[in-house]
Amino acid sequence: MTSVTGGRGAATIRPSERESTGPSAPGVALGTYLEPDSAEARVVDALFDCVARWGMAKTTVEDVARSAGISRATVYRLFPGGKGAILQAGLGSEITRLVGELNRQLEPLATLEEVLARAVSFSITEMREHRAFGQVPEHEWASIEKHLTFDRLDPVFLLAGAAFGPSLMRFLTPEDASHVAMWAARLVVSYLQSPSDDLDPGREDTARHLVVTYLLPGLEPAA
Amino acid sequence: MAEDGAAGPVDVRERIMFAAVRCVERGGVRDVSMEAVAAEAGLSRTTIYRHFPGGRSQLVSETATWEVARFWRRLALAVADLETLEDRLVTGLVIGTKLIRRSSIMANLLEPEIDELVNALQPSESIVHQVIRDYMAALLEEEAAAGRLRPGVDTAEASDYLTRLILSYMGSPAGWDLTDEAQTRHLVRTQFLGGIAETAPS
Repeated sequence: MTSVTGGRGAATIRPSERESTGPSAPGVALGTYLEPDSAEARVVDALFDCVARWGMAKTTVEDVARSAGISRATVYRLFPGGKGAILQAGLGSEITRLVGELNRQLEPLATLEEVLARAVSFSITEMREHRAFGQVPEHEWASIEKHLTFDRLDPVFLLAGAAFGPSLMRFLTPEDASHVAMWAARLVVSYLQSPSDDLDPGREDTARHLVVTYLLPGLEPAA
Repeated sequence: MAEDGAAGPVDVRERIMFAAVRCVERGGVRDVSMEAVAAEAGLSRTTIYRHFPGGRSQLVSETATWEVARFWRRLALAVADLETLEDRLVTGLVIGTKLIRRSSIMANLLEPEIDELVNALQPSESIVHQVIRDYMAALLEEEAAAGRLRPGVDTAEASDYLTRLILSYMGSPAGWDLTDEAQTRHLVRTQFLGGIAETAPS
């Protein structure tokens, strides 16, 4: 944005155009399944413990290593991307677990409206109760987001689309199912990051109100 | 160095923050020092400290907030002359997405190492939410008065909903190419305005 008004005398300045490659390796892909009791799972667990105690910003790889009872070098061998990569893996495995649990609950529900209302409210409630993510104060979500490299939350939404989308395919085309699944994930993240004084979609009836009012009308013409 | 007239720094404070932005562009946040900014701005270190007595951390924090505010003002200006709510949203998303990728401060927010900028911006996150929501509420009021909203739309609630989508998609488009106008228009018609605007003739 600097080129628009601030660009004078800037001959020495390299344009700050950035390609999406970003500075950091993608690290562990979200959605990577963590073998229980594996070293990776222990590190992720240790990160959650540290975040629960000190918050995301203050937690260091040292802390995580100490809490997991392994060396810092081993942590970096498992997660070359450091704290951000551990967080990604942890968030990925939590989302996968959450969606798995959710899908079992959704099976008996007959309408898209009910399914989405349950999905949104259940996810918000679960995340709030999560020992690490539930401890994250509003203002610290920015610090979590920033560790999700590459357009920040893209991997979270894409994973939600891939994991949760298929359970919507009994109501929608595959493309719409994926979009709607990601829409639901956006609502969840948005209300976790900035809770509203007026609406709490952690309540199923409120989530349902949002689905019915803002999402479904836009889907109908296409159906 | 010559400053550009109308759009350029209007006071010393802004001149300093412009200089800080240029330092960030060149070497990242870590390269911002009071000395470097002073040299960049062509001012003395003493002058910089007079305006930012809290030193480097105050300078970084205020510059980041100022730059983010400038980003949103620029966006509001870019869509100000457009006729319809749909056009404003579509153009705003397209231009905003492109601007974010051009902005060193905004783009730096995506870098994993830089705790500092994020910490500096934390208080402004909710301010951004409020500002956009107020802006959207005013737009929706106009639309409602012109009879272009679906019956029964609660403009306060709808403006908060739109704000959440705008912030979410600008931060992480996930699966949508928001530099593509046709895709963005489809998104705006369905998820953004599907439940809010009277269906536009397509």
